[in-house]
Amino acid sequence: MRRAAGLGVWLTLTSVVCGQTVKPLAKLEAPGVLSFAVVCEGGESVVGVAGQHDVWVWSLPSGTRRTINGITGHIPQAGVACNRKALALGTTKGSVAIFDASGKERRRIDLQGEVAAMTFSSDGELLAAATINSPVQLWDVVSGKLLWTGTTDFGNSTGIRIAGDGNLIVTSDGDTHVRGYDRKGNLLYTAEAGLLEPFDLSISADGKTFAVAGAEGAIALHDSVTGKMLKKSGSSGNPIFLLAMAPVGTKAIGLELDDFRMDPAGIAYWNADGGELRNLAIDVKTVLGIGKGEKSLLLVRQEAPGRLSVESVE
Amino acid sequence: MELNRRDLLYKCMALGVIKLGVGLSPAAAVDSWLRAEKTSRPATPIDQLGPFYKKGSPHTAVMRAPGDPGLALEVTGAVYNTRGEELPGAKIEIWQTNHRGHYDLTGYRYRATLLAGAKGGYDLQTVIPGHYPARVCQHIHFLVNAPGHKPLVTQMYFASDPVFKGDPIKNPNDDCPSAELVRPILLTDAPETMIGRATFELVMEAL
Repeated sequence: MRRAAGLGVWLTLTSVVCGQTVKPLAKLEAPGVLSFAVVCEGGESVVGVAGQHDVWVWSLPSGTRRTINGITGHIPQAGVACNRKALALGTTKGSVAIFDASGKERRRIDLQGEVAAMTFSSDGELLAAATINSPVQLWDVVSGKLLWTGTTDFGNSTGIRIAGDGNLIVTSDGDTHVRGYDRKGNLLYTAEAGLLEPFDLSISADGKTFAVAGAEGAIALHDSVTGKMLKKSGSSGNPIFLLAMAPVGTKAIGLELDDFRMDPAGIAYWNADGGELRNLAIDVKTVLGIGKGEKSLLLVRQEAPGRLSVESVE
Repeated sequence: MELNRRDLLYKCMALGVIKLGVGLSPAAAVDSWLRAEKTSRPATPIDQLGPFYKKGSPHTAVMRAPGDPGLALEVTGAVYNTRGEELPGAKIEIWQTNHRGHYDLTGYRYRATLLAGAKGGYDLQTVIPGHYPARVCQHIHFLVNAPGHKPLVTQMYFASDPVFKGDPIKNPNDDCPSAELVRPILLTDAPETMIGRATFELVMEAL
């Protein structure tokens, strides 16, 4: 595997946007212009995809980069799942390649359809995934077996997260509900998520709450035990397709897309403990991905061709 | 000599490949078999739900308001099961963009709920939806629910769409995954009141 050192430069510059501090954490060297980036759960690495299936993984904060080979087909943004233990790359045809932390391929599974959402358990042993036509499926990465398939009234699961201990799987579903399952696939609850489709969700570090966002352009906070909505922001005016909830507290950021062109339209910021949803004053066209690190929310931005920056939002 | 379907069934009975239960005559069995084959319908292919499904759309068959821009379109059809039986009362939710490719996310323009009529039929008045950059093909979303049947989530596409270059079979597109969901448009009425007409039958699978 080809390895190349990134710049790994720590910057000390900070800027304050709408009351939030955006602080550069690292600069990364990219061999091409990325289509998108995904911050892995835990914030220890970033996966970047260029073109249809050129994939690189950067370790944070060092910026060390490695190339992931062997994928053919088109990897959509929903087709990347990763944490400190594992990486999965899924295509629009439903093929998913699973790699260990060193980048060695462990297994391939077939979801039988374009991947729409995907996430690992913290130990990397379980992979929860949905296609554009199916509810959540839970896979055993070790055996490669499908353990169970969830349910919806109709349509697919659009967002999936597994709580840190692996005993709670939460989904946002196209039928405008959120659902919680235990590890065995027992449905724990079905709760309302709004009038329009939700598109993504993110669980708090303690697993007690999760945030959901979608076509309404709002971010809502839900109770993880009951699924019930606790609080909801106003609408940003744009659908929110990606969401990250801060590891500490009740802050969240969401990537808004223009509902016509599906181009980035803003980064929504909301603190459920008070305050209106508002947009960060940054050039959203430079944003390649959002996520969360160990302590803060993260943005990945394309600074220039061949150069990325990872920034924290605090 | 090539056997027709009826002869083949009789031959199967003679050979014992098909056995008849008590009370069934060969002729009645063959007639019933052929009738079942004739009336059965393949399930409508499923297609993705999203984006931008919104629950609670108004009960109306008329999504097109007077003066709305775009080519007027009437979509008619019926809801069946795969045995070819009509499903009266099936709930049909429909949503699409306006003629410029914009979904209404704040209200319910170009969103409707219909109930299939006594013979499973429906009749929708709308406009041909526009293109939007994230979806190459013009489309109308359908969500159909009927007791005892799997919810049907699908989309209807248009043979007139420029993406097909006049031939959806020869020029398929990954964005419109099934040629079975592409429908021709019949233009009728006078030029000043011209309307496009299309049929779209919805065939549901039993639970």
